[in-house]
Amino acid sequence: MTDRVSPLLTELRRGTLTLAVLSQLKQPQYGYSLVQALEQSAVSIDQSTLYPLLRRLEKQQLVSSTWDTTESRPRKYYVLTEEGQQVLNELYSEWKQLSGNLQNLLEGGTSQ
Amino acid sequence: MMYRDAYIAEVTKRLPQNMREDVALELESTIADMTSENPSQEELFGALRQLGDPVILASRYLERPLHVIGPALYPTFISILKIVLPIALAVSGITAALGVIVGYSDEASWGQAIIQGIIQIVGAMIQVGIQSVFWVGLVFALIERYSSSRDTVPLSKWDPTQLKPVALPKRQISRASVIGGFVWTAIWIGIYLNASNLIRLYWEDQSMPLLNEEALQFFLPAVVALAALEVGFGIYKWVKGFWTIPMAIWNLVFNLFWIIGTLLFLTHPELFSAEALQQFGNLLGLSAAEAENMKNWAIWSLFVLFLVIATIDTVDGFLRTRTSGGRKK
Repeated sequence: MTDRVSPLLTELRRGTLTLAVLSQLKQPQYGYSLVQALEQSAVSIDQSTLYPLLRRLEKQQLVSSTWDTTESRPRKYYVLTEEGQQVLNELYSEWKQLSGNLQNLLEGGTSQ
Repeated sequence: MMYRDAYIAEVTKRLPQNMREDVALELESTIADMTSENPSQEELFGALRQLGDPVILASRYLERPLHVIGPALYPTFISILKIVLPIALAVSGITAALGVIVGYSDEASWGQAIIQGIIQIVGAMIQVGIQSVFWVGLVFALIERYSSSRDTVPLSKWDPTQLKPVALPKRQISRASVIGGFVWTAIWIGIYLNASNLIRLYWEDQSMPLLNEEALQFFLPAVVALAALEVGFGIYKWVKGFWTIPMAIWNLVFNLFWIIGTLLFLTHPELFSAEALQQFGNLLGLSAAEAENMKNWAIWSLFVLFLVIATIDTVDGFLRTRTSGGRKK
């Protein structure tokens, strides 16, 4: 990848991060399992972005968190709240429309 | 585990108390997830590299910028600095040079006097230069911290109806007037700093300082603060670009400071050196009481002059906030 593309790509990805993270939190996940889940779908996320993002989503009451201390080491699990589920649905339909529109734009070449 | 704990400490020490424990625990379990049991140092370092610079991580947790002056203000900061710094350097250099010339005495040799003079002038310029950069930087840092950030205001809240009519020429603050203000500040502070050399009583081929050095030193902190305030207000006017009511109120407050400061300064009982006053009386053949009278008269006329200027400036500020003069509905 050329140096010119990578900053633009970062910018392009940034907006989709929230959607990607929310989509994986229908089931409770802890930080690292979330990273792996995202990576499995080839969505890479900077870990120094992810953990603060989770905290922000929690503050916005889109996800809730619980500490699980039953296993060998304590883990903080995040899961969508009801509100988060709604937001995810809305974002998802917006995304579908957006990507469709963009697809048309890119493949149609000229306008109209 | 020493490095893991050190990393976590680097992050959490930058966070508020109530977040620390939770973040530390989460990072601990995350790092454990990323590595095998009892990882080698290399493996641990790999995980820490993925988490990245602890300072950046902490700033993301805080959702606070890492900069003192951000990209939105930086260009203005630089352009203000480009104006303030040359003015400050020029005026401090010139006043210091005047002071050196006036204070020249035959006692020292020419060479010595020139070297001493240069040291004095350069010293004054460096001092004033550092002060200006510091105060201007401080003002911008405060604007950055406390002004409503553009990023946090959702754009959707904006509506064309919020558009104000283009500021009438009367309301506009020309850059020249702000620059003039900086020059004015630089001149009076330059004179003040060299007052014992510049404000002197001259007779025949002799002279002596008219003001007491102790009194000048006593007021120095207040004078520096006032100058900083004046420059800060100038920057505020520059950034804003037109007069507003809060600005006019600040202008009023600032002028009040000015007037109170001037009053305290002029009426300070030790301001004038007794020696100089006596010499002044002798020269004009006045009695001590007459000389005292004349001094008081001079002080109060000076004060009234400042009061009039400050009042005009304050009233002008308020008049300029008016948007009348054909504002359409």
